[in-house]
Amino acid sequence: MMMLTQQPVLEGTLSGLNLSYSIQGKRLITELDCVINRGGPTALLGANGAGKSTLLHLLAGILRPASGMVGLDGEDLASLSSRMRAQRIALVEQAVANEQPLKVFDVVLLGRTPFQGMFAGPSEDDYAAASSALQTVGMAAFGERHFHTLSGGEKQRIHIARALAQQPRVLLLDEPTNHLDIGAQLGTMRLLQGLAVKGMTVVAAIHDLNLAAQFCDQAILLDGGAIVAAGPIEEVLTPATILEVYGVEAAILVHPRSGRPLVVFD
Amino acid sequence: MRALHSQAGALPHPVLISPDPESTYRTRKRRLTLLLLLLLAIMLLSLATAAAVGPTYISPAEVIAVVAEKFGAAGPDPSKQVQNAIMWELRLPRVVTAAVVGAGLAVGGVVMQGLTRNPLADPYLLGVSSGASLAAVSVLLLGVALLLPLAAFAGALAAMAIALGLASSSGRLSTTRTVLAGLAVSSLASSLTSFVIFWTAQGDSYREVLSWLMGSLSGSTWSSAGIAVVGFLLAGVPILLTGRMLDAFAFGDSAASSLGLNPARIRWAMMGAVALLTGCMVAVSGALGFVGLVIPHVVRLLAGAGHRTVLPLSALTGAVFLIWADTVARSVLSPREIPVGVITALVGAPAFAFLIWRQKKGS
Repeated sequence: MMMLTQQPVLEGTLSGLNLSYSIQGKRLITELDCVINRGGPTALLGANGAGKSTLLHLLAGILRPASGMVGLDGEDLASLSSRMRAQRIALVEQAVANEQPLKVFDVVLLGRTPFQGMFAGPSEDDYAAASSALQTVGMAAFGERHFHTLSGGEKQRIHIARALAQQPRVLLLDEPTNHLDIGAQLGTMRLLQGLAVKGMTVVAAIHDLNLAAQFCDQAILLDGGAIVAAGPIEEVLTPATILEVYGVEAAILVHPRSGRPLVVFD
Repeated sequence: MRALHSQAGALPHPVLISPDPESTYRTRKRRLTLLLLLLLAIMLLSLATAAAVGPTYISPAEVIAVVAEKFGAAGPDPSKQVQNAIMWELRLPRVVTAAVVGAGLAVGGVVMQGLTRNPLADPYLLGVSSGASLAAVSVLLLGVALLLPLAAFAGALAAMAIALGLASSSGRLSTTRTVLAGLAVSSLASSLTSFVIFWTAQGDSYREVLSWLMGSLSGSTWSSAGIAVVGFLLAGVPILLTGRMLDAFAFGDSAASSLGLNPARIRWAMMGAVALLTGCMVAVSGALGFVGLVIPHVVRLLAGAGHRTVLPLSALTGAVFLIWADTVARSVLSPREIPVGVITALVGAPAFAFLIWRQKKGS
C-alpha cells in the first residue's frame, strides 16, 4: 500500500556544489559546497542573515542557484520537474499565519499535491499517506479539528505531517522551534530525531545552539553566505567558531546526562 | 460521527481511539456531494419561482411550460402569447443573468481572497469594476458609440491589464503589490468616473448612471445572459475544476512551491481568469458589490475553508442569493426598481453580521 516500502532504499544524500545566489546585487550565498547525509538530523546554524533560509530554499529547489547545482542521490535537482522534486524533498517553512477554518486533515492532505493530477481529487493512497503522517506526528486524533485553533507546537506537528505526506527522502525545516514553548521545542526536536533515525535525511535551521547540540549529530555553520565549519556537531561548535560567527564568548561543557556538548555563554 | 472502534489484532485489548480521520473524511465528502445536489435543486427551483414573481403572476409550472415550449418539448399555446412573451423576453433572461452573475462574482471572490490571503479581497481587486464603470459611464453620458456591455468589458480588461502590469515585478505578482496596484487603478478610474458624471450628467441620466454604478440587472436580455454564461464557461468552469490548487496557497507562496506547484504561473492564470470572468459579469450587471466579497466568507463560515468545498458551494450560493436579491429589487417598490446592489448589501450585510456573531458565540 505505502509506496515507500516498495522502493529500494535511497540514500537521501543532498549535496550543494559551488552554490551561489544573490538578490538585487547582494550576495546571499557564495560558492558554497556541502554534502548532507541521512543519519542523525543536521543542524543549519548561523546568525540572522547568515543565509540559512536561502540555503534551505536552494536545497529544496524552490530557489534556483545563480550558479552551481544541488544534487539529490546523483540527480541534478534542476533536471527534475517541480512535481518530482516535491515527491523527494519537503520543506517546512517558518510559520505563516492562517486564520481560515481549514481542517487539519485537509492541511495534511496538501502534502499529497505533488502526487495528484490537475483535476483529480485525492486517491485512496493519498488518504492513507495523510492518515499515516498524522499518526507519525502523534496527532491522529486531531484530523477534524480546525488548524487555526491548535497550539503552536501542534501546528508545527501538522506542518511536519504535511511534509511527511509528501513521503520525501529529505525533510528541510526553517527554524521549526521558533516561538514554541520549551516543551513543544523538545517535542518537535524529538520527532525530527525519530524521523532521522528511521532513515529520512533531516536538515533544520536552528537558532538555539543547545537544542541543536542535544538533538543533531551533524551541523553546518554559516556566516555571510559561506560555510565556517561543517561536520559532527561537537567539532562545529567550539568557542572559536561561536565567537567568529555570533561575536559572543562561550565555553563548551559536557551535558551531564547525554554527554553531548552544552554551550554556556559569558 | 464519533465512531469508536477497536484495533483488532494490533493490541491485546480493544482500545477506544478517536475517530479515524480517513473515514470521517469520506463522510464529509459524501455530505458535500449531497449539499451540492441540494443547492443545485434549490437554485433550479429559485430560477422557476423567481421568474414567476412580478406584476403579472405566472405560476412556476407555467414558467417550466414556457421553457419546454421554447425547446420544442411542448406545443405552443396561442392563448398565452403575452404571458409567454413576458416570461421569455423579460423575466427568464433576467433570472438566468442573475444566477450566472451571482455565481461568477462569488467564484471570483473566492479566488482573489485565496490568492492574496486577504479577507477583504474581492473580484474587483484589480480595478476591474472601476475600469468598467468608467467605460460604461462614458458610454452612457458622452455617447461614445459602443455597446454598453462591450464598453464595460473593454474598460474592465484595460484596468486589469494596467493593474497587473503595475503589480508584476520581474514576472512575479506579489500579494501586496497586487493589492496596491489595484487600489491605484481603481482610485484613478473612480475619480475620472466622478468627473465625467459631474461634468456631463443631467436630469434622468443621473439615475441611469447611478443604477449602473450600484449594479442593476434591469436591462437584462438573452444577450446579457449569453455574455455571462460564456464568461462563466470560459473562466469560471476552469477555476472550479482546478481551484483545489488554491489550498496550497494557504501557507504562502513558498509552501505552494515546495508542494511542486508554480505559484507565479498559477497566480497569473487565476488572476487572468478572474479578470475575464468578472469583466463579463460587470459588463451585464454593473459594479455589483457585496456578492463577490461576502458570499465566500459566508460559505467558509458554514462549510470550512477547503477550496474544493468553497468554490462550488460559493457558486451555487451566489447564484441563489442574487436571483432572490434581484427579485426583491424589482418587486418591492414595483413598478419602480431599486438597483439590486442596494438590496444585496441591505439584506446581505445583516445576514453576514449574524453569522459572525453566531460563530463568535460558538467558538
